[in-house]
Amino acid sequence: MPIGKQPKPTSNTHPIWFCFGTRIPHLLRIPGHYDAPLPVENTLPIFVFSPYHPGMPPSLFRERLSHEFDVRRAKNGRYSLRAFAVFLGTDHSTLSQILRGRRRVPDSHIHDWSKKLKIDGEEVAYYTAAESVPDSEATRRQEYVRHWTAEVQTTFTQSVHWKILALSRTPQFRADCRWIGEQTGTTVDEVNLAFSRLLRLGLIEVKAKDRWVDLTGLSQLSESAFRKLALERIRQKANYFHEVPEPS
Amino acid sequence: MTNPVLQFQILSKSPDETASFYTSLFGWTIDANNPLGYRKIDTGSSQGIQGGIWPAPPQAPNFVQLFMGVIDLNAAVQKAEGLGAKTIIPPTTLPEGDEMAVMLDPQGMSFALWRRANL
Repeated sequence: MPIGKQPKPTSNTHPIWFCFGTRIPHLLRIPGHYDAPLPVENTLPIFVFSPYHPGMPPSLFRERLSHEFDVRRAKNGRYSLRAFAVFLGTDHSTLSQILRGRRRVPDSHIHDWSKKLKIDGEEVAYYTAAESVPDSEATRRQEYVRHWTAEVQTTFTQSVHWKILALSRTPQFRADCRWIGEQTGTTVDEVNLAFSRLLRLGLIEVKAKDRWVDLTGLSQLSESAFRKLALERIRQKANYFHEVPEPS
Repeated sequence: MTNPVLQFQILSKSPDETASFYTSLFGWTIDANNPLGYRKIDTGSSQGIQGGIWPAPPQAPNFVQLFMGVIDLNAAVQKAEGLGAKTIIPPTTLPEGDEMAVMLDPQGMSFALWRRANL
Protein backbone atom coordinates (compact mmCIF):
# COMPACT_ATOMS: atom_id res chain seq x y z
CA MET A 1 0.00 0.00 0.00
CA PRO A 2 1.29 3.42 -0.76
CA ILE A 3 2.31 5.57 2.09
CA GLY A 4 0.24 8.68 2.44
CA LYS A 5 1.29 12.09 1.33
CA GLN A 6 4.78 12.74 2.56
CA PRO A 7 4.78 15.63 4.97
CA LYS A 8 7.08 18.52 4.37
CA PRO A 9 10.22 18.23 6.45
CA THR A 10 10.35 20.64 9.31
CA SER A 11 13.38 22.68 10.07
CA ASN A 12 13.07 22.79 13.80
CA THR A 13 15.90 24.21 15.76
CA HIS A 14 16.57 22.53 19.02
CA PRO A 15 17.90 24.95 21.54
CA ILE A 16 19.33 23.05 24.39
CA TRP A 17 21.62 23.55 27.25
CA PHE A 18 24.03 21.14 28.70
CA CYS A 19 25.32 20.77 32.14
CA PHE A 20 27.69 18.54 33.93
CA GLY A 21 26.30 16.63 36.85
CA THR A 22 27.89 14.50 39.44
CA ARG A 23 26.65 11.37 41.10
CA ILE A 24 26.15 13.41 44.17
CA PRO A 25 24.06 16.48 44.02
CA HIS A 26 26.65 18.89 42.79
CA LEU A 27 25.86 20.22 39.40
CA LEU A 28 28.27 21.83 37.08
CA ARG A 29 27.62 23.62 33.93
CA ILE A 30 29.49 25.03 31.07
CA PRO A 31 30.40 28.59 31.95
CA GLY A 32 27.86 31.04 30.76
CA HIS A 33 25.12 28.47 30.82
CA TYR A 34 24.84 27.50 34.42
CA ASP A 35 26.71 28.25 37.55
CA ALA A 36 27.26 25.63 40.12
CA PRO A 37 29.99 24.31 42.35
CA LEU A 38 32.81 22.21 41.09
CA PRO A 39 32.43 18.54 41.90
CA VAL A 40 33.88 17.40 45.13
CA GLU A 41 36.92 15.19 45.04
CA ASN A 42 36.45 11.62 43.86
CA THR A 43 33.15 12.19 42.18
CA LEU A 44 32.79 11.56 38.52
CA PRO A 45 31.06 14.34 36.67
CA ILE A 46 28.76 13.22 33.96
CA PHE A 47 26.97 15.26 31.37
CA VAL A 48 23.27 15.59 31.45
CA PHE A 49 21.28 17.74 29.16
CA SER A 50 17.90 19.25 29.50
CA PRO A 51 15.99 20.37 26.51
CA TYR A 52 14.10 23.54 27.03
CA HIS A 53 11.36 24.27 24.73
CA PRO A 54 11.05 24.19 21.72
CA GLY A 55 13.08 21.04 21.56
CA MET A 56 10.85 18.35 20.22
CA PRO A 57 12.20 16.56 17.19
CA PRO A 58 10.35 16.78 13.92
CA SER A 59 7.48 14.34 13.86
CA LEU A 60 6.11 12.84 10.69
CA PHE A 61 2.84 11.97 12.41
CA ARG A 62 2.46 15.53 13.60
CA GLU A 63 2.83 16.64 10.00
CA ARG A 64 0.25 14.07 8.99
CA LEU A 65 -2.19 15.40 11.58
CA SER A 66 -1.54 18.90 10.38
CA HIS A 67 -2.24 17.80 6.82
CA GLU A 68 -5.51 16.15 7.88
CA PHE A 69 -6.56 19.32 9.63
CA ASP A 70 -5.71 21.44 6.57
CA VAL A 71 -7.76 19.14 4.35
CA ARG A 72 -10.77 19.45 6.67
CA ARG A 73 -10.44 23.21 6.80
CA ALA A 74 -10.17 23.39 3.04
CA LYS A 75 -13.53 21.62 2.83
CA ASN A 76 -15.09 23.63 5.61
CA GLY A 77 -13.59 27.02 6.44
CA ARG A 78 -15.30 27.01 9.83
CA TYR A 79 -13.80 23.70 10.90
CA SER A 80 -11.89 24.45 14.12
CA LEU A 81 -9.00 22.88 15.93
CA ARG A 82 -11.41 22.27 18.79
CA ALA A 83 -13.66 20.25 16.45
CA PHE A 84 -10.67 18.27 15.22
CA ALA A 85 -9.67 17.56 18.83
CA VAL A 86 -13.19 16.35 19.65
CA PHE A 87 -13.09 14.12 16.58
CA LEU A 88 -9.81 12.58 17.72
CA GLY A 89 -11.05 12.22 21.29
CA THR A 90 -8.58 14.53 22.90
CA ASP A 91 -8.66 18.02 24.28
CA HIS A 92 -7.96 21.12 22.29
CA SER A 93 -4.93 22.11 24.33
CA THR A 94 -3.15 18.77 23.90
CA LEU A 95 -3.74 18.74 20.16
CA SER A 96 -2.63 22.33 19.84
CA GLN A 97 0.63 21.58 21.66
CA ILE A 98 1.28 18.56 19.50
CA LEU A 99 0.68 20.45 16.29
CA ARG A 100 2.96 23.25 17.43
CA GLY A 101 5.69 20.74 18.25
CA ARG A 102 5.53 21.36 21.96
CA ARG A 103 4.57 17.80 22.81
CA ARG A 104 5.51 14.41 21.51
CA VAL A 105 2.82 12.22 20.08
CA PRO A 106 2.62 9.10 22.27
CA ASP A 107 2.55 5.80 20.40
CA SER A 108 -0.89 4.99 21.77
CA HIS A 109 -2.24 8.23 20.29
CA ILE A 110 -0.71 7.41 16.93
CA HIS A 111 -2.60 4.13 16.87
CA ASP A 112 -5.91 5.50 18.21
CA TRP A 113 -5.96 8.60 16.06
CA SER A 114 -4.85 6.72 12.97
CA LYS A 115 -7.87 4.45 13.33
CA LYS A 116 -10.14 7.46 13.47
CA LEU A 117 -8.42 9.04 10.50
CA LYS A 118 -8.56 5.70 8.63
CA ILE A 119 -4.84 5.68 8.11
CA ASP A 120 -3.58 2.41 6.72
CA GLY A 121 -1.85 0.05 9.20
CA GLU A 122 1.40 -0.02 7.25
CA GLU A 123 1.51 3.74 7.29
CA VAL A 124 0.86 3.72 11.04
CA ALA A 125 3.79 1.35 11.54
CA TYR A 126 5.92 3.75 9.56
CA TYR A 127 4.94 6.69 11.76
CA THR A 128 5.50 4.70 14.93
CA ALA A 129 8.95 3.66 13.80
CA ALA A 130 9.79 7.19 12.68
CA GLU A 131 8.92 8.54 16.13
CA SER A 132 11.54 6.32 17.72
CA VAL A 133 14.36 7.22 15.35
CA PRO A 134 16.45 10.02 16.79
CA ASP A 135 16.73 12.97 14.46
CA SER A 136 20.10 14.32 13.49
CA GLU A 137 19.96 16.99 16.17
CA ALA A 138 19.26 14.44 18.89
CA THR A 139 22.11 12.33 17.57
CA ARG A 140 24.40 15.33 17.69
CA ARG A 141 23.37 16.03 21.27
CA GLN A 142 23.97 12.40 22.25
CA GLU A 143 27.37 12.49 20.61
CA TYR A 144 28.21 15.70 22.44
CA VAL A 145 27.22 14.22 25.79
CA ARG A 146 29.04 10.97 25.13
CA HIS A 147 32.24 12.64 23.99
CA TRP A 148 32.65 15.17 26.77
CA THR A 149 31.50 12.81 29.49
CA ALA A 150 34.16 10.34 28.41
CA GLU A 151 36.73 13.11 28.29
CA VAL A 152 35.98 14.12 31.87
CA GLN A 153 35.74 10.57 33.13
CA THR A 154 39.04 9.52 31.58
CA THR A 155 40.85 12.58 32.82
CA PHE A 156 39.55 12.01 36.33
CA THR A 157 40.05 8.27 36.59
CA GLN A 158 43.45 7.91 34.93
CA SER A 159 46.07 9.43 37.14
CA VAL A 160 48.67 9.10 34.40
CA HIS A 161 47.63 12.59 33.25
CA TRP A 162 48.81 14.44 36.27
CA LYS A 163 51.69 12.01 36.82
CA ILE A 164 53.09 13.05 33.43
CA LEU A 165 52.91 16.66 34.53
CA ALA A 166 54.47 15.85 37.89
CA LEU A 167 57.29 13.94 36.21
CA SER A 168 57.91 16.77 33.76
CA ARG A 169 58.78 18.97 36.74
CA THR A 170 61.50 16.65 37.95
CA PRO A 171 65.16 16.92 36.91
CA GLN A 172 65.32 13.27 35.90
CA PHE A 173 62.43 13.64 33.45
CA ARG A 174 62.91 11.95 30.09
CA ALA A 175 60.67 12.97 27.19
CA ASP A 176 60.14 9.39 26.23
CA CYS A 177 56.74 7.74 26.51
CA ARG A 178 58.33 4.36 27.11
CA TRP A 179 60.22 5.75 30.11
CA ILE A 180 57.11 7.57 31.35
CA GLY A 181 55.16 4.34 31.05
CA GLU A 182 57.69 2.58 33.26
CA GLN A 183 57.55 5.36 35.85
CA THR A 184 53.77 5.52 35.95
CA GLY A 185 53.06 1.82 35.60
CA THR A 186 51.08 2.34 32.41
CA THR A 187 51.41 1.20 28.83
CA VAL A 188 52.91 3.39 26.13
CA ASP A 189 49.47 3.66 24.53
CA GLU A 190 47.98 4.93 27.79
CA VAL A 191 50.77 7.47 28.08
CA ASN A 192 50.19 8.56 24.49
CA LEU A 193 46.46 8.97 25.01
CA ALA A 194 47.08 11.03 28.13
CA PHE A 195 49.77 13.05 26.37
CA SER A 196 47.36 13.80 23.49
CA ARG A 197 44.69 14.84 25.95
CA LEU A 198 47.05 17.16 27.81
CA LEU A 199 48.03 18.72 24.48
CA ARG A 200 44.37 19.18 23.53
CA LEU A 201 43.64 20.81 26.87
CA GLY A 202 46.66 23.07 26.58
CA LEU A 203 48.16 21.68 29.77
CA ILE A 204 51.51 20.62 28.34
CA GLU A 205 53.87 21.83 25.69
CA VAL A 206 56.81 20.17 24.02
CA LYS A 207 59.58 22.77 24.06
CA ALA A 208 62.39 20.68 22.71
CA LYS A 209 63.18 17.05 21.98
CA ASP A 210 63.90 16.39 25.62
CA ARG A 211 61.78 19.00 27.34
CA TRP A 212 58.07 19.00 28.08
CA VAL A 213 56.71 21.99 29.90
CA ASP A 214 53.83 21.83 32.34
CA LEU A 215 51.46 24.67 31.42
CA THR A 216 49.10 24.31 34.36
CA GLY A 217 50.56 27.30 36.16
CA LEU A 218 49.95 25.50 39.44
CA SER A 219 52.62 26.13 42.02
CA GLN A 220 51.68 22.94 43.86
CA LEU A 221 50.63 20.19 41.49
CA SER A 222 48.21 18.01 43.41
CA GLU A 223 45.81 15.57 41.81
CA SER A 224 42.78 17.52 43.02
CA ALA A 225 44.16 20.84 41.74
CA PHE A 226 44.87 19.18 38.42
CA ARG A 227 41.33 17.81 38.23
CA LYS A 228 39.79 21.20 38.83
CA LEU A 229 41.91 22.81 36.17
CA ALA A 230 41.35 19.99 33.69
CA LEU A 231 37.62 20.20 34.21
CA GLU A 232 37.68 23.91 33.53
CA ARG A 233 39.63 23.35 30.31
CA ILE A 234 37.23 20.62 29.21
CA ARG A 235 34.31 22.99 29.73
CA GLN A 236 36.06 25.60 27.63
CA LYS A 237 36.74 23.06 24.89
CA ALA A 238 33.14 21.85 24.96
CA ASN A 239 31.99 25.43 24.47
CA TYR A 240 34.54 26.06 21.73
CA PHE A 241 33.58 23.03 19.70
CA HIS A 242 29.83 23.13 20.17
CA GLU A 243 28.98 26.76 20.71
CA VAL A 244 26.07 25.81 22.90
CA PRO A 245 23.37 28.44 22.66
CA GLU A 246 22.37 30.36 25.73
CA PRO A 247 19.04 29.30 27.17
CA SER A 248 16.54 32.04 26.60
CA MET B 1 53.55 26.39 -2.67
CA THR B 2 51.97 22.99 -2.56
CA ASN B 3 50.60 21.17 0.45
CA PRO B 4 51.05 17.49 -0.21
CA VAL B 5 49.54 14.77 1.90
CA LEU B 6 52.61 13.54 3.73
CA GLN B 7 51.27 10.81 5.91
CA PHE B 8 48.19 8.85 6.91
CA GLN B 9 47.49 7.91 10.49
CA ILE B 10 45.22 5.15 11.69
CA LEU B 11 43.69 5.89 15.07
CA SER B 12 42.73 2.59 16.56
CA LYS B 13 41.27 1.45 19.84
CA SER B 14 43.48 -1.63 19.55
CA PRO B 15 46.71 -0.39 17.97
CA ASP B 16 48.56 -3.69 18.31
CA GLU B 17 45.77 -5.61 16.62
CA THR B 18 45.53 -3.02 13.87
CA ALA B 19 49.27 -3.21 13.33
CA SER B 20 49.13 -6.97 13.23
CA PHE B 21 46.29 -6.97 10.72
CA TYR B 22 47.92 -4.62 8.22
CA THR B 23 51.38 -6.12 8.49
CA SER B 24 49.86 -9.55 7.85
CA LEU B 25 47.70 -8.27 5.01
CA PHE B 26 50.19 -6.09 3.13
CA GLY B 27 53.58 -7.01 4.50
CA TRP B 28 54.01 -3.50 5.90
CA THR B 29 56.65 -3.09 8.57
CA ILE B 30 56.15 -1.17 11.77
CA ASP B 31 58.79 0.52 13.86
CA ALA B 32 57.89 1.91 17.29
CA ASN B 33 61.43 2.53 18.43
CA ASN B 34 61.12 6.29 19.00
CA PRO B 35 60.43 8.52 22.02
CA LEU B 36 56.65 8.47 21.55
CA GLY B 37 56.59 4.76 20.90
CA TYR B 38 54.80 5.80 17.71
CA ARG B 39 54.11 2.91 15.38
CA LYS B 40 55.55 4.19 12.12
CA ILE B 41 54.31 2.29 9.11
CA ASP B 42 56.61 1.60 6.21
CA THR B 43 54.59 0.31 3.30
CA GLY B 44 57.80 -0.80 1.60
CA SER B 45 56.89 1.12 -1.52
CA SER B 46 58.18 4.36 -2.97
CA GLN B 47 54.71 4.99 -4.32
CA GLY B 48 52.09 6.61 -2.14
CA ILE B 49 52.69 7.82 1.38
CA GLN B 50 53.80 6.24 4.61
CA GLY B 51 51.76 6.21 7.78
CA GLY B 52 51.48 5.52 11.44
CA ILE B 53 49.19 4.12 14.11
CA TRP B 54 48.10 6.04 17.20
CA PRO B 55 45.70 4.95 19.94
CA ALA B 56 42.16 6.28 19.50
CA PRO B 57 40.53 7.93 22.50
CA PRO B 58 37.95 5.67 24.14
CA GLN B 59 35.02 7.82 23.07
CA ALA B 60 36.12 8.05 19.44
CA PRO B 61 35.55 5.54 16.70
CA ASN B 62 38.50 4.07 14.82
CA PHE B 63 39.37 6.45 12.03
CA VAL B 64 42.03 7.56 9.58
CA GLN B 65 43.58 10.99 9.56
CA LEU B 66 45.60 12.68 6.85
CA PHE B 67 48.65 14.83 7.54
CA MET B 68 49.07 17.73 5.13
CA GLY B 69 52.48 19.31 4.76
CA VAL B 70 52.84 23.03 5.38
CA ILE B 71 55.77 25.40 5.54
CA ASP B 72 54.35 27.85 8.09
CA LEU B 73 52.28 25.94 10.63
CA ASN B 74 50.84 28.93 12.48
CA ALA B 75 49.80 30.63 9.26
CA ALA B 76 48.17 27.42 8.03
CA VAL B 77 46.24 27.04 11.27
CA GLN B 78 45.06 30.64 11.08
CA LYS B 79 43.96 30.20 7.49
CA ALA B 80 42.09 26.98 8.31
CA GLU B 81 40.33 28.67 11.23
CA GLY B 82 39.39 31.54 8.94
CA LEU B 83 37.73 28.98 6.68
CA GLY B 84 35.72 27.52 9.57
CA ALA B 85 38.02 24.82 10.94
CA LYS B 86 38.52 24.35 14.68
CA THR B 87 41.75 23.54 16.40
CA ILE B 88 41.92 20.34 18.41
CA ILE B 89 45.65 20.41 19.17
CA PRO B 90 47.33 23.77 18.68
CA PRO B 91 50.70 23.94 16.92
CA THR B 92 52.94 21.61 18.84
CA THR B 93 56.50 20.46 18.50
CA LEU B 94 56.84 16.70 18.60
CA PRO B 95 59.69 14.97 20.41
CA GLU B 96 61.60 14.38 17.18
CA GLY B 97 61.32 18.01 16.13
CA ASP B 98 58.40 17.88 13.68
CA GLU B 99 55.60 20.37 14.28
CA MET B 100 51.97 19.43 14.12
CA ALA B 101 48.50 20.83 14.67
CA VAL B 102 45.31 18.78 14.59
CA MET B 103 42.11 20.38 13.39
CA LEU B 104 38.47 19.67 12.62
CA ASP B 105 37.27 20.79 9.22
CA PRO B 106 33.88 22.53 9.01
CA GLN B 107 32.21 19.17 8.38
CA GLY B 108 33.71 17.76 11.57
CA MET B 109 36.44 15.62 10.04
CA SER B 110 39.81 15.76 11.72
CA PHE B 111 43.04 16.34 9.85
CA ALA B 112 46.57 17.34 10.75
CA LEU B 113 48.86 20.06 9.52
CA TRP B 114 52.46 18.99 9.66
CA ARG B 115 55.77 20.69 9.26
CA ARG B 116 58.64 18.28 9.04
CA ALA B 117 61.73 19.12 11.06
CA ASN B 118 63.97 18.81 8.04
CA LEU B 119 62.06 21.28 5.89
